[in-house]
Amino acid sequence: MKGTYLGEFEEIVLLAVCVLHEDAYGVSITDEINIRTGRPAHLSAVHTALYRLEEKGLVSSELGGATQARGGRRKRLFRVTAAGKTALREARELRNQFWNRIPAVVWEGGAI
Amino acid sequence: MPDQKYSSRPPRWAVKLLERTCPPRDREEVQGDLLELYGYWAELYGEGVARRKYVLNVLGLLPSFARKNRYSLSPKPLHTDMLRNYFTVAVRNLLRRKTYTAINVGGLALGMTTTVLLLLWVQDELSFDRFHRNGEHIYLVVREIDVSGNQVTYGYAPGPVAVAARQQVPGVVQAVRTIENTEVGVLAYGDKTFTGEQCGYVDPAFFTLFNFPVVKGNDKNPFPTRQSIVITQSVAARYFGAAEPLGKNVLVNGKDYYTVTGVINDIPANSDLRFDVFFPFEILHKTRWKSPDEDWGNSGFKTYLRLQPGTSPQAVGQRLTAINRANLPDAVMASKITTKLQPLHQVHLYHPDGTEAGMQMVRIFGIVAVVVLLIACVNYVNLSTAQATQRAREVGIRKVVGAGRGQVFGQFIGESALVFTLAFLLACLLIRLLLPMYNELSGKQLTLSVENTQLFVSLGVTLLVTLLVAGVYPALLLSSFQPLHVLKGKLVAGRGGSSFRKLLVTGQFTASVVLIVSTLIIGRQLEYMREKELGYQKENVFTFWMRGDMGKHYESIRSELQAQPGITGVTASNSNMLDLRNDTGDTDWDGKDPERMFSVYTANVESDFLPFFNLQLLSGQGFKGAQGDSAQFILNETAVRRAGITNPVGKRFKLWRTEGIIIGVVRDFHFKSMHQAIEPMVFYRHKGWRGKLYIKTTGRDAARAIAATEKLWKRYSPAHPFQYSFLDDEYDKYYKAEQRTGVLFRYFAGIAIFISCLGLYGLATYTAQKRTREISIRKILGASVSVIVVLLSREFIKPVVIALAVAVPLAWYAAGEWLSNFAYSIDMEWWVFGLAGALSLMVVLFSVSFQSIKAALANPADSLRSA
Repeated sequence: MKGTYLGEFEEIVLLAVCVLHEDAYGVSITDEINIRTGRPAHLSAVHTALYRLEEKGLVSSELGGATQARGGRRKRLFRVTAAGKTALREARELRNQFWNRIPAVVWEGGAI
Repeated sequence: MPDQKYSSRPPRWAVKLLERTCPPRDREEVQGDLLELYGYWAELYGEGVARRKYVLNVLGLLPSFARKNRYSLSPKPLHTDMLRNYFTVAVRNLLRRKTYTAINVGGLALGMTTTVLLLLWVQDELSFDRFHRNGEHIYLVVREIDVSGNQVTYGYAPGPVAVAARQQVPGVVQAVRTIENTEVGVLAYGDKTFTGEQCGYVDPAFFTLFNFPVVKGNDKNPFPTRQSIVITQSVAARYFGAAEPLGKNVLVNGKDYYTVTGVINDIPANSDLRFDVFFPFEILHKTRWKSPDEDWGNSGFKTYLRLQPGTSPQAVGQRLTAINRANLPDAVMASKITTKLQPLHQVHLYHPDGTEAGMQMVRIFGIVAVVVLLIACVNYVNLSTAQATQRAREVGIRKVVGAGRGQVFGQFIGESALVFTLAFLLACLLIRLLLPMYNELSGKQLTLSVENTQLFVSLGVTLLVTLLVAGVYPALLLSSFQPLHVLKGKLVAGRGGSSFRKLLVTGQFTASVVLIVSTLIIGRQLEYMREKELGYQKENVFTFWMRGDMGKHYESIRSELQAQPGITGVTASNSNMLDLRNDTGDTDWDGKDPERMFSVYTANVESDFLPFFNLQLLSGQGFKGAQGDSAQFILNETAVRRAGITNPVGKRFKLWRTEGIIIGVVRDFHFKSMHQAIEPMVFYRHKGWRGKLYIKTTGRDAARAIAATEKLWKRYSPAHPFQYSFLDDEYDKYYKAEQRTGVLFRYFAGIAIFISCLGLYGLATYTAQKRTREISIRKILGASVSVIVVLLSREFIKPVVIALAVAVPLAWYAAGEWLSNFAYSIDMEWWVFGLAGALSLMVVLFSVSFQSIKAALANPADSLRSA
């Protein structure tokens, strides 16, 4: 159970990793989340989520891409794994199933 | 995100913190990420905000908050959640039972305070003269004299011993003599005069043998001339203020000028070598009729030797004994004297013969310190085990949820540690508050300074030991509960536990009763010494040493004073009546056994001395004729007995070179401290110096008599300030140290008993609470208040009665040991023990019955309805 379940924030981080593709690391992911969701994500929170995802095997990482702004230090670049893709797909699938089963009247009826 | 040029840097400490705390695997990327963000923030919001954000992020990344440690079973390596829970539970328990908490914390704090104060006292006593650089090689020369089969040891030696030791005894590095300089009355510099300085004659090596370095002046030659003195810094400050003391001339006794040639640091309070002003020993060569370097017959000098490391003090003693025998003119006397060495650090606490003096009190206080702390610990053990049942469910639940015995044990040890820490803090506060008062009581200058590492180590050890003693047993008991039993409510509240508590209470009260008995006996012995008939009248007599020209005008002073209405008598002698010091072996009488060692105290007195003090003659008569008639002697009973003279009156007697006859025998009276048995003494009359004046008043007119005396003093001795003292005040002063210890002992015994009662009160409260319903039902069934009070009190009376039975023989033995130190002591009477027993029973009943009566008076309906 523990291995496959995706928390809401984790899901967003994982999606951001997919979106950023080859350039997904701590700062860019935080940035992406800040811009897209409009809610302030802390670097530490993102790191925590990333490490957890890595422990679950949903992302993999490698070091690379040192820049001067980083004081010459390398980034840890994250990439989504097959398991990560499956987890995302399953999450989406789950939602879709729910979406599909919502009776149309819910959207039309307004207040009862 | 585009790379940003950064111009400023994040706070260095935060960078370091990150470096230190970040797991190495992630360190590089995290540092990089944060640095990148920092540049970005700095551009966007400015440096201040960027720095703040950086710090916040570093804090957010601290390892325990970020990546979880995948190797630890628990999410937090220190189980902080559990610790917090323990702490919360402990605090709640303490708050819920405020009475017990107060008793535990208060009792322990009081116990710790007492222990620390006592240990401070003990430490101070043990520290006397232990600070000298070569202290372990310094010895005092003592002489053991065989007086008709009894060995008496004196801490004094004749002057030549030091000279002989220096020149003839191998292994002696230095030898120094000291003797009090009692002739100095007043010192003056400019128009300032000073009295009451402790003056002494010392050999020049005094300052190097002991650790009293000459800070100003020449320590190789501190006394360049006979007219030199060395003073302490505080004397220098008092006399000369900030001015340079060296070279200043001080007027002594209004006659001679002495030049200050050296200044030493003040002598520490924990030294017995307390002098303020040092005179060169050489002066005595001139003023004594025989130079102290050659006079083997007079032994009044404290002689200290410093030996080479590895030298045997016994060998030195034997060598000195031999030298003494070779030099003493009287061969018989010489054969009875053995010279020995006493280590310097023993001088303060042991008699010269090596038996305990102050050491006994040090030991007693040490024991009391431990006992008081133990009593407080017993309270803690009793109250926490008694309440163990109330925590049983908690223990059960903890164990069911998965706690091991070790964890529960740790929890309760921790709770004890909390209580002890609280008590310790309170004790520290109490000590701070009480120390000034305590110093006044004990006459010491104790401080609780940070440098006193020895004390703090012993304090820490004390705390740990008490924690172990008092904390382990309850923790073991509590952690032993079986969850199945306690949760089913089948806990047998421990018959064993309650009898263990009774055993502890018994022990506690045994200690208390012993302390009560000791207090009573010490108090009575001290009172006995103060009030005992000395064999003469010391009331309403004031006295002083005559100064200036007074001695020459004794006759006119006497007749003038006797004319005063308030004055009933005037007399004089050459010695202090309370403490005769001159003794001699130079006597002879008809039929004296030449093998017999006979030493006698002497007093040169006025003719009317005996009637003045109401000294009673057993046979013969008082002095007759003129003062110059020196052929008359009056001996005391002991002297007659010790000398073996039958029908002494009229027999020939020779004192020094004076032949005469014994004209009377006086009843024994005390002329020494009550510690010492009455020794032989002889009154004689001689034209010589009799400088101690005694004036008896009617009591009511004392003030007028003193005023009249002062007028005469001013006439004959204007250079000296008028000083006098009442004989009974002076007498009390001799026992001041003992009175002080007596008072201290009373306080500490009181505290010990108080703490014991606190514990009993707590236990009684607990029992009454536990049995509320039982009491209510008994009342409903018709039991009277008194029946219930008896019922509740009974279980406490038994251990106390047993304690009495144990304590009485113990106290008997201990008090007997203590009393055997006194030559004259009270008898131990049974009523002392009876009183102690009654007292302890009374305080027990009082502390127990308060709760019992409260429980018995409560309305039974209340407790039964609420149930």
